[in-house]
Amino acid sequence: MSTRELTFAQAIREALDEELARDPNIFILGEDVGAWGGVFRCTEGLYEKYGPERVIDTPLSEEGFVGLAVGAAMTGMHPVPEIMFGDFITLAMDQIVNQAAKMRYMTGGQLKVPITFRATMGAGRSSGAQHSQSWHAWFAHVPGLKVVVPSTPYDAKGLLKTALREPNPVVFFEDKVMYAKIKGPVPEEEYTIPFGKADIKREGSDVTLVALSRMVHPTLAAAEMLAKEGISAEVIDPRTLTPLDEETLIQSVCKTGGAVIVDEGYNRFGITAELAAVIAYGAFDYLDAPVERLGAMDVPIPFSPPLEFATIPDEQKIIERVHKVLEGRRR
Amino acid sequence: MAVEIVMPRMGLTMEEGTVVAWLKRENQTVAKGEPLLEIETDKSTVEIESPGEGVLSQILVKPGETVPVGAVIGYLTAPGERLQSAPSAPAVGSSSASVQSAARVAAPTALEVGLPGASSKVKASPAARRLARQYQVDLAEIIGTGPGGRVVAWNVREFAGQVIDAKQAQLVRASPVAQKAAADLSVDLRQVKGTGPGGWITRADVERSARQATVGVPAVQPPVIGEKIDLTRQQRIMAERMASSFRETPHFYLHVDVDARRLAALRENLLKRAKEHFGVHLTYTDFLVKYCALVLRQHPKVLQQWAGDGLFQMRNINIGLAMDTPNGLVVPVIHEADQLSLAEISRRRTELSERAQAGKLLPQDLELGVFTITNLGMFGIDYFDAILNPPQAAILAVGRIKERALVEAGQVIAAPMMTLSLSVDHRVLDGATAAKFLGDLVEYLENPDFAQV
Repeated sequence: MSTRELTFAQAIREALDEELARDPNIFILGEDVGAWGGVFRCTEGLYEKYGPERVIDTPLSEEGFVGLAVGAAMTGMHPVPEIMFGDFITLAMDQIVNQAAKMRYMTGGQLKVPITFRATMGAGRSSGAQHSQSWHAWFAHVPGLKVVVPSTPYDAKGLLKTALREPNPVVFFEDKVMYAKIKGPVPEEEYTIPFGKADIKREGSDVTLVALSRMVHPTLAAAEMLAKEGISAEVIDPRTLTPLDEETLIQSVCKTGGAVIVDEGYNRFGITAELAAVIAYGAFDYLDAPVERLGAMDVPIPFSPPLEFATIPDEQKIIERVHKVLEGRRR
Repeated sequence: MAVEIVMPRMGLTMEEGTVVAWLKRENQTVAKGEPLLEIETDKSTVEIESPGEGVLSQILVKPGETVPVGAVIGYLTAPGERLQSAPSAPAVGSSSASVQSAARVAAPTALEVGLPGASSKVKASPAARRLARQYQVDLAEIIGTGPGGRVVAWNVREFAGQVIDAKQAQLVRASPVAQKAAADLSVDLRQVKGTGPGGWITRADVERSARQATVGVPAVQPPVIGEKIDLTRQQRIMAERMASSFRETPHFYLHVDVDARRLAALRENLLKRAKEHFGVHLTYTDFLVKYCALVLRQHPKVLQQWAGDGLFQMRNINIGLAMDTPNGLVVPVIHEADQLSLAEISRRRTELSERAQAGKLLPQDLELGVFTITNLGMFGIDYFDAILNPPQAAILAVGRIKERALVEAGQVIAAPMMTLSLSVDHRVLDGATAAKFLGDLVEYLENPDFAQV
């Protein structure tokens, strides 16, 4: 199997390209996705290759084009609306939550809604409070939606291809900081990655670190630094929030006795809370310290870089939490 | 509120401790966690950290004095705060037996006062609670090292191990006077029936036991010439334990030559990289610990121990290493060595060795060993037989690695060779069982790559 290095954006683009070629029902729509190739270069060249009917530029109107896409999905197409800044997915909340997520249930299965909403998340670009938020938790809260949060080019491509073959609505979150910065091996050969299967990014025995999307990278860096102190950290990436691979999380914590959950979404009522609850329930008798939750600080994300970085998790904050979990414990 | 400083319990078998030195003067300010005093137990000398922040307002027990575990030995107050009522010093142990018994009578009350959480709800992690159920131990008796004194999993594991150990040692409770008498009269305290309060062994019990023993066995006459040397605690412990081991344990010995070519090559190959990546200096002892741990896992019978009235199966592979220190022989233990990487073993061994040289070993460093390695290779010894370290069933004596003649495929060649001697307790293991263990160990040492499989 031959492998090359792709950026996160290139991996997304390749998945879209391959699936557009495979399934004539798939089409892309969104702001600047066509002739411009997407502001994050995820659809570069696809407009030229598949034409303006399958790669459609839309006005700045999330409620409009997302509604259109949900309707098209009900008629048998597989639309891929792109929300350039995930913050503005709020404008299409009704279309996603009340329409796409409900139709298959409300029609007793007569209608299916095969649709892949692609949206960005992530802070750290000094984009201000309205262009830096991570809203994946909202959709993980809604029954009827599947939620994907990949961390590597390999995972992004394999999971997006699975989403594009899925007969139900999928919200696919891509951290915009990773598009150009994160590179990784992606095989030339075709592959898909099933939903609901967590990936152990690093094996360890002293503490479990659960991280998703971009947070996997500072978490792995923290694990490397902890190894120098003699602390063996296991890093688990759930990869999909719905469905969630509870088994892998619980088994890991049963082995290590402690967990730190790292996410870029807000802490309060967030992903960190849900995953902590899953672990506390499933691994209760094995926990040797309370589960630590490290999410974004519960404030609108500041524009000023020093303030912005203070609100989001990084290596140092992760290491501090690990020390807290391991306080007084002999490994 | 004044905070009581109590004589801590370092290990389950500790009943009383001696204050060696206070590291702060009265009315001196101390920070939480700062070394406050040194105490001596029957196993070692330990530095005790301050339980809180404040002023050492009163010292009740002076250096050299012995008090029961849990007795108040001093008070810590907030700066500016005055002690409400000057408490009187607890009865202090000395060479007088009557004072001793007074101290013991006072002990239970002091214990209740001194150990918080004994009666109230214990703070423990769920993992610690699960293990306490599994090992059937009482959480209230365990000292927690987690945040706010929370009992965490390893506290229970260690405590449970001590319980097993203590049951095997048949928990000797004797006053210091009786202990001294026992040492002077060469009486094994485990064979003495105590008639003191709560079954404690008194000096009279020891003397009676010594008189009974001399009826059948002629007493060793002290030499007439030469001056008597004061024994250190470590010398006395070594003398007692080795004498009783050699007298009571039926030893047999297995010898084998090991072709160390591959082991030497592997160490050579790893030495520099281990230094760069892990900051450790790999010694042959580290490899021996690693391979012994792996082979012990396959031969659980070697972990069995003869104690009291029968055989006990030990589970954790805790390997003791005999070390030479300025104060004499000590055998600190690398716990659960089979769970550790070679680099971790090396780091642990270095740490124990440094503490042993400095006389700073903690009681738990010396406990729960199930197998011992003793290596005199560095002293140029080719091979030797070791005396078993009771209650362990086996001890491995290791000689130096030296070029010797090896016959291979009909040719005599020079190769680095090493001779091992395994001493075995014949109550626990027979020759064939011990030979299989040693054979598997040699297999690993001669084919170290195989250990990775």
